[in-house]
Amino acid sequence: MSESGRGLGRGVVYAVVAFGALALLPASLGAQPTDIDPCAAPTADTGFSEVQVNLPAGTINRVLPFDVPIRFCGTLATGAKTVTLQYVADRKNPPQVDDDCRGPGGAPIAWQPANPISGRVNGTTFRAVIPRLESQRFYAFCFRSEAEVTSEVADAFRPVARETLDEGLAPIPRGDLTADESEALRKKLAAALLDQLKSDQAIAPGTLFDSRSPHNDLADRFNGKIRQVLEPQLRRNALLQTYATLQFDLAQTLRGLQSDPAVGRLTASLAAPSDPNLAALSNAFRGALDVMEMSPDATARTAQGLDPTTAEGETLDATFDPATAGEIAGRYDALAKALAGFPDLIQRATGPGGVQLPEGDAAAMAPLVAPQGPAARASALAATLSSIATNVQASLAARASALDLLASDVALRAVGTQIVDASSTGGFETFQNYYVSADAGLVAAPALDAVVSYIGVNLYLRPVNKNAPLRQLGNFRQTFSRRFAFTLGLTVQSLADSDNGNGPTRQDLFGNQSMLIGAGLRITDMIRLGGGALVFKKDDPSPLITKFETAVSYYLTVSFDLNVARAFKGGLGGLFPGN
Amino acid sequence: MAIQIRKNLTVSPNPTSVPKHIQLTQTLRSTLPSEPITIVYRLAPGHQIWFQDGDDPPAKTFNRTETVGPADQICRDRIGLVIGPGTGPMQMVQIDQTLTDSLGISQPDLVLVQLQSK
Repeated sequence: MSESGRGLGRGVVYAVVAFGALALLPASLGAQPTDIDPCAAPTADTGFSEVQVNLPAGTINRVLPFDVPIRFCGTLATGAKTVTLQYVADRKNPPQVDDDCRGPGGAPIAWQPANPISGRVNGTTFRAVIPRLESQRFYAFCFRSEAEVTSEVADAFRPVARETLDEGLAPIPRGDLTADESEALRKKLAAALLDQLKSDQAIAPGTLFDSRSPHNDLADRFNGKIRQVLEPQLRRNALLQTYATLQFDLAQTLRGLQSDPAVGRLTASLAAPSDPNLAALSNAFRGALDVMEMSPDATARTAQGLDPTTAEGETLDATFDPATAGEIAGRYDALAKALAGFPDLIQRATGPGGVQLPEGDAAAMAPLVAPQGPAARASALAATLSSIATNVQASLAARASALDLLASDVALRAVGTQIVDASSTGGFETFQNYYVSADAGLVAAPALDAVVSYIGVNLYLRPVNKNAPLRQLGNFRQTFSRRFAFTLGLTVQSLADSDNGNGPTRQDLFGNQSMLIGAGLRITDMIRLGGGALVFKKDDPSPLITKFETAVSYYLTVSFDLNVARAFKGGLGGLFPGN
Repeated sequence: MAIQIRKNLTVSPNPTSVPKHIQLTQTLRSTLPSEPITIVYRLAPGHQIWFQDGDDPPAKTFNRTETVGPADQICRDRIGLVIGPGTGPMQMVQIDQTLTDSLGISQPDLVLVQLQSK
């Protein structure tokens, strides 16, 4: 039942504002107040890694941190209602993404996560928290923002929506809908509407055809609106099935009357009577006589509700125009009335002063005009078809009106997309912080019976963000590579022993420091246990030789991250800044 | 001799919950001074919504007779809707109606009953 373009409903619809237009907006519209930067870095620790996003430029203000949640902050065009984002990562090269968040040549991209991350919009500022990212990746972020659309855009789409809904609902054969079928129908209609949208348009969230809204929330409203369309549609279908049968029945009945020899002689006698009384009778029942004189083709057209004098016109089952159905109803009504007078015509024409007919014609025509006879049936069929055509007319009008209302429920949002490229790789200066950490602690050398303090550097085999709590990244096995590091250190105190009269037995490797070479494992975010070789100098055991040689002894360490030491104003932390 | 549907079949309340009694209403007239007609209401056989007429067992159809004259006449039929065997849960069901006049000429009408989902 496609009837697009007829009658438009009213509705609330919205206007398009795309991110791309942000740069074109006057400063007074698109810019933030100059005295306050809503995305300025917080002075205190917020628990998130804060990243500022410049959507028009497609940039962020820092290397992306990894292993920690990130909070993006940026500004949107005035009027934006929602913002969502997804990302895609590549280990080797920056992802290639076009303005519509598609790959080269329009290829789809496997954006993550599958359900986009929703940001919070406050005025023109948005914030969005994204989960932990991988280290050493190139990222592309697809930001999608929705804004109200202009009334011109809404008006332009409404007939498209109406036609789409019209075509989506027309094939439905019955009005029996389970909950699942209702949901499937809504999804199907939403998908069909989506196909009609431009790349910068979307269905407004929470409206009747927003596929993201749970069906249960909208089922009653949706079913109510759909019922208003389906009921007249299904009624029309049922009426037309009966129309096909009844108009055939009517044609057959009329042909039966027309082919009766007695009726033929009667109508011939009344075709152009010279007797004024018969002429008056002929005029009074002209309608019935015309039917009886019709050609087979004209009879067929009359039975279809068409004008028998022309070869044009839509039949009831072909028209979607209520006015045409109304005209057909009028013809059937006139036919029914004309045929209702046929018994009276027979009675008068065969009565005293009537036409001269062969003997027996009056008796032959009597059954034709009996109360249950073919003339009465033809009239009843025409009257019933008039009722059917009238109801088809009403059904077409009701469905058109209901479609208008349904189409007005299609609320649009304009979608703006913006790509932001970012990286969690950084340069040497950045990632050296992720591979190298500093700590300080105590080193025990049991063989030397010595415990002294030391400072050292830990060299990890993978990037480690020390701001990411280990317990949030998995169990011990899953975080082993974030815990294990090789250690190179120097003792702070000297390991040299004092002269006990026989001379010193050991000295430090360099001046007053000995060297630690080993490995360690973080057992908490701050505490590390380690072990390895302590390198120092010891006196040659031969009493004849007074030379100190390089020697090695095993050691055990317990140490603290120097960021902790910095918190205690240990001073050395400044040498090893964290990220 | 012929029945004309002057106002299509409606149901109240609509939407409705089930089980519940509903009222079917329609305006008819005849081309005869007085014409007996039969009215048959039907539900689709597969789903879980059934008619229940008084103490009768649930059924998918029920019949009524009326006598209609040349003036518009409002015809009302009350019937219960109940849940029985069949597919569901239903959110909308179609009640088909067939009117048959004294000459045996039939014409259809229908109404959709919206069943509240909660």
